[in-house]
Amino acid sequence: MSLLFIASYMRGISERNILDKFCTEFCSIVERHTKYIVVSGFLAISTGRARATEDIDMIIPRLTQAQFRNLHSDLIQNDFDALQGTDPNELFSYLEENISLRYTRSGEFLPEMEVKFAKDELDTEQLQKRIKVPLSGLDIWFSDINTNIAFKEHYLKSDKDLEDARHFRIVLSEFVDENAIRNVKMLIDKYRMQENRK
Amino acid sequence: MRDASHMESVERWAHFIRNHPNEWRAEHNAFINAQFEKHREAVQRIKASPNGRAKLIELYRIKNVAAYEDALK
Repeated sequence: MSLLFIASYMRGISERNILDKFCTEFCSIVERHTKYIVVSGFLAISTGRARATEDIDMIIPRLTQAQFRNLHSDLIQNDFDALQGTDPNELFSYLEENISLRYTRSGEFLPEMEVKFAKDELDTEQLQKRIKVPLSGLDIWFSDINTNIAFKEHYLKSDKDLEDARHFRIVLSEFVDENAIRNVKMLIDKYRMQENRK
Repeated sequence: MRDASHMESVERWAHFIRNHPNEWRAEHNAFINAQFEKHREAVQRIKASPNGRAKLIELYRIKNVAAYEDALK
């Protein structure tokens, strides 16, 4: 990606809101250690959806304990804290049980970054297909638009999620691919609906 | 379940974003920042209420209390 292209869509610091700033700073640290994607609500909000959120959801690949310890230590050194504890071994055990870790800026309760490990093929595929979204104006990796639409329309399905999906279909219409959405919905049936039935 | 007018307003705003790429962001940023400002004010009020500290610890499910001690004072 050329510097000119980056400059053409990255927003200046003064044009960022509290969520943008928090997310950008957190992601810049995570990026030093592993791939990541920001999923769901924050993608909707960073592309203009007018609604509130307290947390941003992030998926990372399954790390080793040593890799996680380095990531956690870097976050702590850069003024983030985990609400659930300080012991990296204990925090790692949460991740291994597919429980999200909740990080905030030191001494602040919100916003939170909810970090979790990829738990199945669907998450792994999202990490592989990650994208940057020019409309967001942010240098952040997001899960792809069609996957977000599929999850919100087919799996999450609250009023808020259906509205997010509609928002994506309008503001990011150039990314929308109905075949891709159908394929993700089939994968959701395969991996997540079966899991819910267990 | 929200009525159809709610989805219509979501669509109206999404079309505004599409059609006014240089105008929506300032309004949107002010909206997002205002929510956090309101949150900070609410935290101060909770803190000042009876058992405010315990309420905040429960509300945010804080196990790592030491790291948030200043914010809880």
